[in-house]
Amino acid sequence: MQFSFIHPRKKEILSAEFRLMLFFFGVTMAMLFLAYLFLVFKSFGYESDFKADRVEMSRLNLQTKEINSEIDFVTMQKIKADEIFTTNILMRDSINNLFDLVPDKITVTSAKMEKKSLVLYGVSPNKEVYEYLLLAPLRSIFHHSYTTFYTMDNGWVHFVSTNYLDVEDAPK
Amino acid sequence: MSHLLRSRQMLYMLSASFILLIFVILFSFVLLIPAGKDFRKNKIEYRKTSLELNEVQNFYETRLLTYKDLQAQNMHVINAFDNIFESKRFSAQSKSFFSSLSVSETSKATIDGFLDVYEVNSTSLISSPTNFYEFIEALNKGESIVELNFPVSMKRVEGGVKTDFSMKVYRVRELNKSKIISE
Repeated sequence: MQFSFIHPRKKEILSAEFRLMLFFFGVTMAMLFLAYLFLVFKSFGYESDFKADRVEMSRLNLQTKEINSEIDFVTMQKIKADEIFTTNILMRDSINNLFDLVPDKITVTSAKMEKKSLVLYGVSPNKEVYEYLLLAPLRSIFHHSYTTFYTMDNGWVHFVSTNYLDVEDAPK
Repeated sequence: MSHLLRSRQMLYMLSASFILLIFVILFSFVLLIPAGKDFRKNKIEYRKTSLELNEVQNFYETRLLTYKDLQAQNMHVINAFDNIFESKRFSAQSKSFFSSLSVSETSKATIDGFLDVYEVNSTSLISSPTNFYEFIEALNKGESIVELNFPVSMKRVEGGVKTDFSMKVYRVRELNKSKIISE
């Protein structure tokens, strides 16, 4: 009887090459799956980020709108205040000019300023002095000037000067 | 026998390769490519939104800065428009310009745009018109927005010049303010 000295090879269903191949296939599938997971998570991340950005954008737009309204409101207040301050300064200058207008020889005892008129009460040495020194500058400012004189006991004249501006030239 | 075995292994390998191929194709077309498309779309959208947000943020900051500058420059006006005018307080603050000053209580308010307007009448005695000019200048720096109004009448009396004048006091209407802000 003859014996073989070769040990019998263990017979396997799947060969080593096949198992190696399955391993690489597994790696390939795992990589594909990881790539898929990466894309899904990243995509989800971007989606949440841009949704959050949109919410932030809406909030900022709303706040910008409110700030714009506030800016408009402050601007309106500034314009109105400037208008009022200018009116006050014009008023001051008008009164100042009125007193500058009156010469030393004439005494104004009373003055009433309206939007489009000025009434002056005063005393002048005579009519001529009034006409040359006060009426002339008043006529250069007002469209209509009327004067009434009353002679006083000492020879001086008491005058009432009423001056009008036409409506379109009147200060507002 | 060995040849047969190798053929079987080859068959396994071919089958596995075919299954892998089918899996890869299905996986790619059903999951991977749509996920990739979503990823690309979301990334583009994110970049676009980021840029827009940046612009909106910059615009917001610019407007906020403008508002703060405007507010700082006009603090006096803003506060003055908000202040409640008190005749007694006004008289006390202005008495340095006059020998005597009497200020009436404020009238019922009338409406001028976004403002309530109150009328106040004053009778005063001044030693010289210069004091009156100084008073008018001081009005522009006062605690309330006050406009000197016609008529102004001045009469020489013993001890100075009796001056009668009216003033308009302006105050922001609260309802109007909230309406403007909400618009």
